[in-house]
Amino acid sequence: MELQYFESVAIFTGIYIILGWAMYFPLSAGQFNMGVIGFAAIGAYCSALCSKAGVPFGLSLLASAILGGIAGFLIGYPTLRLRTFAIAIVTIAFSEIVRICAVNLNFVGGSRGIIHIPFFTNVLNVYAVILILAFFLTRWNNSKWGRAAQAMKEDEDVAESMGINLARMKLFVNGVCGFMAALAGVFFAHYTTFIQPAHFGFDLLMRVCCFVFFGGWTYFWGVFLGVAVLIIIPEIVRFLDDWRLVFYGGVLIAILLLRPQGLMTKQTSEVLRRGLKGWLKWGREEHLRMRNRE
Amino acid sequence: MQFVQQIVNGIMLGIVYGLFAVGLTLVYAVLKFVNLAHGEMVMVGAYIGYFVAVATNNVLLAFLASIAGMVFLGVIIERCLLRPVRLAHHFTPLLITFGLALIFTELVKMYVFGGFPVIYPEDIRKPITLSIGPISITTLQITTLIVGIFLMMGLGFLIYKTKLGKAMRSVAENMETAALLGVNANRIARLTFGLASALCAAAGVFIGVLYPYIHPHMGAPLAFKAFAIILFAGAGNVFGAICGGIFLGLVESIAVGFGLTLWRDVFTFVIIIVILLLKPTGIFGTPYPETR
Amino acid sequence: MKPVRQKSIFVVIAMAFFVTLWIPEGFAKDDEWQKEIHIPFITCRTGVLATWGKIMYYGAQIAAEEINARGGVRGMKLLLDVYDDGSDAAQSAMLVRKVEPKALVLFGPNNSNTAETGLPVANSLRVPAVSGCCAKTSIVAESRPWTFTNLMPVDLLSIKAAELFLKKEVEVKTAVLLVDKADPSSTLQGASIVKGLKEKGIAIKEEIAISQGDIDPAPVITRVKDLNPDAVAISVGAEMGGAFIKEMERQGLKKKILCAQGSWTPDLIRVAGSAAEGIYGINQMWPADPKLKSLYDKCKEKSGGPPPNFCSFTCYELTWFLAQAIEKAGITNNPGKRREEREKLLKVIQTMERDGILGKWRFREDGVGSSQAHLLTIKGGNEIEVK
Repeated sequence: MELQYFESVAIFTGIYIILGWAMYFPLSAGQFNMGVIGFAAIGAYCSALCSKAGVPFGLSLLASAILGGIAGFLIGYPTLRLRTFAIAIVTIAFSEIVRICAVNLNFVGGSRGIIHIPFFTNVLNVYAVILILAFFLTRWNNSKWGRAAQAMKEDEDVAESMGINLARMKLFVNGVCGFMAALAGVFFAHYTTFIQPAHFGFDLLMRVCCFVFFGGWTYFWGVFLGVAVLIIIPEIVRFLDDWRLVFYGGVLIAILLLRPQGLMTKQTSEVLRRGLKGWLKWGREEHLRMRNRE
Repeated sequence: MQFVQQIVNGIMLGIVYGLFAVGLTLVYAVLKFVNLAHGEMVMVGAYIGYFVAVATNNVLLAFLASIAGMVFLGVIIERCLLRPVRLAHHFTPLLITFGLALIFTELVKMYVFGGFPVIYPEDIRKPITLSIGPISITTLQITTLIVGIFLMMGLGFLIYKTKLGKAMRSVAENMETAALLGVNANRIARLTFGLASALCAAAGVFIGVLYPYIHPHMGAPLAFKAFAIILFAGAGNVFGAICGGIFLGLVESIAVGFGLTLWRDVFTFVIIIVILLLKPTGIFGTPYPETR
Repeated sequence: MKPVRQKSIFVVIAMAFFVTLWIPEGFAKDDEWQKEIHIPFITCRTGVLATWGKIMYYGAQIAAEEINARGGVRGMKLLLDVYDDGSDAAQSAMLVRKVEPKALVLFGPNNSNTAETGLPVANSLRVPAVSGCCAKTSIVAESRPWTFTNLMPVDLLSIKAAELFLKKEVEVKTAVLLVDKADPSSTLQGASIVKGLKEKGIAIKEEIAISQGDIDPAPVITRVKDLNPDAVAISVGAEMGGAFIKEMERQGLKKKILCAQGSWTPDLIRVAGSAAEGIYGINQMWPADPKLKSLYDKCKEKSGGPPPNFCSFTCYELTWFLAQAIEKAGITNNPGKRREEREKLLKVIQTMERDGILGKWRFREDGVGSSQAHLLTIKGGNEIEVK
């Protein structure tokens, strides 16, 4: 097809990957932080206002990301003592409050949103950031903090008895989540040059959840695969017209039934490194193993 | 200000909210996942009721047919789509129901009147308005109130006084232990989902009859409100869900009554956050041992 | 599921996935350019705005069929290729980028929300884009010179609405507005109606914000009863507006009602039912015009039941306009000459005047189509124009 079309698909894929990683990161520490949409909205609006006021792109990117990180950090406080489900709810409620505030406050444009945001995103920007984040995530996974996060996910009490400072870890993880989500929001705002509160609603949250859990929530490359598959499929099946979304729902269900643990998990990726042949056989055994652990 | 009338409005609205929140809370308690297709199931129930009402012009028949249809659909969904992944991480059934919601919405949009809103037949919906003192209320609303209360009492009886209810409660606490003790967990899961679908159908038909129209996208905002209700009231608690529903209806009506319509939704969320911070398991919730 | 069966199903799905990557695109093969002109029609066939998108398409499709029946455009068939943007602004931007290389002119994105991202992209890619139902006319005013919409500017329309309404109903002194703050079109139309009413000295008692998930109109109408205005202005979506009107009748509230253009659709009238008698609405088309009856019936037949609304007719008219413009500009549809032909077509679109079902109209300097506003009301179940 055409280069500009591929470029736009690639950019959206990149933006969703960053969002997906923002949701994946707290998940790998056991926190179901569903507020990624709220943080993305904060990042998008903040950077949009900055850019319209003439601030250079790099600066507004950093500023909005840091703001998102602070917001994430602040959201971490109330959720310190909550269980997983309650954290999800409080963060969803937070996202909705951000959205409703955006609708009702006129200086951010109300329901019309902000238009004429200068166009700054391109494939290089987005993928450079993705590479940096991938590097960070790989190093994190192999470092002592990564292992601490995983311990926290498995069992909080044991982790605490091993000397891991739970509160600090949770706050840090939520802060990074906010940082990454805000980055995605900034790129989104500067690509579509138009943001509206409606863009940051519940359906975007569900899509990001789909990317993360469909692709595999235990390994960060799973998000990559999940986003790629779930963005490319609707584009390929355009010839289905009205049946497009039905097909999308059907594919989602079918693949989730076949591989409930997600497309790519850490074990799967290791197996892949050893050779493609073992992959399918391992899928079934791995599912059984995970089942027995639950 | 028509304060009393707004309270009555709020209670009526609340009963409907409560009905579909109960289905959601049942599914969450017993099957341990949030059914994202809940709103769409209410919508499908409303549409089934619509077709039967148009064909037979009888509300009762529409009600019963809708319940029967949705129970059938619910059991099939549970058997085919949810059982295989029940033991996986509890986000997988959630995403499956998300896909299901998409499918339901798009199919209804394609095949029923081009996706435009449909209206239940006028004869059924002709309400007779009674004025009792300062408030006006319709016969339809009174019927809904009575049927709703009956349904809730029946549900309460089922869950707390029958052997089946005991089995459901034991599965809600711990599915594996219940299975060890001789409860057929699969059957209970199927029954629960069927029961929740029946409640969806009832709520759907009520909505179709009481309110001016139904359309394919009515499921999502309703489901969102239902989530808010069960969080606020404590997941798994039937009585709490109804009370939560009525509370939400009251908050909305009174907010409108005071002219604070703009920030209505923010109130709801702020209240939820405050309550969750003060009592993380919800107002009526009992502390569950953390299983996942 | 048995491992072998799981494995084989997975392999089949993976193979199908890779095979579909090679499915040929449904766009014109380059050697057919002499026989067919393909115009990409970007609309919402799935998603929340699907009902609007489909109804618009039927109007345009009827026009295309009529054009082809009388010989096509310069001997070539006019074909509208439908692209679905899923009511999503991001997808519409992607789609415009996808279809632009082979397109002479774009018909779409055809909805205010999706046009917000799509039309500026079209403008930057230098391809003429006409939108049939973009109510936010500021978009085309800012994306000059390549984009156009033939919907009247919402603010002008609403102000005219207030003026005509007050001429008819002179005893109105106070009003209340029902608006959906989360929907930009509704907010815009509501704000304009309020402005128009205030200019004529009407006091607005309150702007009641409705939310999408409101299923019960009772609390809001009780509030309206409380405020007791003389008139109610409705700028929420069509079926919700109808619900409020019906509830007003049920609660015994007799007020003068004025509906904005975005709300005045067959749905509103249908949902309001018997309560719709005597309500007013502003629109730049009069779909129930007896002169347009055959078009109305054809649309209804094509859609299989749902009647057309004003957008179907604007798209019908726009298709004819495009055909006329392509004729006048002498387009040969040669892919090698795309750039020049787009420029030629742009000049014609900017200057040509057409006498069609909207009367005489043309695109103004700011890219918006000029047309007239009609104040409509319901009498005896029929939509008639108020002179």
